[in-house]
Amino acid sequence: MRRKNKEETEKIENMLRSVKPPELTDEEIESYKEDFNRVLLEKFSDITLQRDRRRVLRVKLAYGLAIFALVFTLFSFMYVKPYLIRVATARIINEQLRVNIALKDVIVKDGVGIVIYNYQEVVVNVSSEKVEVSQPIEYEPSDKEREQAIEIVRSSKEAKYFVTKEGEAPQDISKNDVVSIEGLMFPNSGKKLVEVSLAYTPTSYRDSLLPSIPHSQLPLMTVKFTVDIEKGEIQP
Amino acid sequence: MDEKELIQKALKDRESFSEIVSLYYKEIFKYIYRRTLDKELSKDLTQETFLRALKYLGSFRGTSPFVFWLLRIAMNVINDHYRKEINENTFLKTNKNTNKNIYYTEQDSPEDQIDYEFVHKYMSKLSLREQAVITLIFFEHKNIKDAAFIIGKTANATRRLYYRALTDLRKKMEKNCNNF
Repeated sequence: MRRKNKEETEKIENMLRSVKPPELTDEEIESYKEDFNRVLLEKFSDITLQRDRRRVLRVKLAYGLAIFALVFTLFSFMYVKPYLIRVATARIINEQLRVNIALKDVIVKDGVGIVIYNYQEVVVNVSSEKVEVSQPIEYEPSDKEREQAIEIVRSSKEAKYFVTKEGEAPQDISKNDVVSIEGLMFPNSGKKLVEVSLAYTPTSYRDSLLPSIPHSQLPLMTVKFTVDIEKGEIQP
Repeated sequence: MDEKELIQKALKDRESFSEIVSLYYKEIFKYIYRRTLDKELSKDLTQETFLRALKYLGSFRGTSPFVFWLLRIAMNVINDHYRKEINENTFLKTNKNTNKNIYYTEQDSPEDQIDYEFVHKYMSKLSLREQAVITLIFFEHKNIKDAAFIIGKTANATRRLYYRALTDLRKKMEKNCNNF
């Protein structure tokens, strides 16, 4: 079969080799060429002008693409890399500490992921998958931080509807006296929390148990609110 | 002045481009005529080939002979022309019917039997690439490597295309033979 095909192919090759292509006289072709030269006379400058314009456009397009690629790369580093670190940090903490972390709670700093969890700072090196846990250090908050922290506590619903025990009616302690203010700073992330203690009297004392005790002699207790000034909210 | 210098000069200078036209017009015209067998059409398509060459002259890198580059443009111009015709549904109609038995027999001497016009009628039923490869190899006397460059394929792919073209051509001729 293959041999037959080969023979057939050879036959057709031989046939094609024997075909004499049509011949044209040189004069005829010369006349066509002269016609074309007349066309060229009209069109040459237009075509070269178009070509130059296209070249300029191509250069502009190339610059545009290069700038776009540069901006895209920068954006990737600004947004994509931190996102990947967040995902990796949450995964590593979940694997090693068995704690679920929301991506929004992961702080990315200097290429590491940091999570503040349960008054501890968990630092995750995503490349080596190493986890370090460190304690916060106390610091003296500035006057501005104090004011901000008090303002956040006073306007919070936790202070306005404060409940000491389950089943008790909530009381508004937002206007109560501030007993103390302390600052906590986490060394790696630089994150600050401010603890604001408010005085209060348990509802049970006020309402029923000791009605004869004068208001000034009611027992006072304190409650501590941990404020995240950056987020403008009380830590749960 | 060598070819490269002439091409560089032709980017801006019409006289230099006319010189290029003088050098290659005949070869390009002949190639196109062998593909179309129509003098007026060949004249138009040769004109289009050279105008397109002028338009893209800046992209010629000099990695192959200039005439190969021109032949590639000519091939594309022919293909564009026929594709346009196919789209307009005229090409197939004009090439559909032939009442001549042009196939050769083993007993006959092909030299006596076949002329180009007959072969061309069958070639025109092949794909445009197949037509190009057969014309380049048999009538422009290019080897597979040069034809590959002009067609814009690898040598192996061109070889496969060449054999497929021959087989298709043979089948078309045989079919016609059996019809009579």
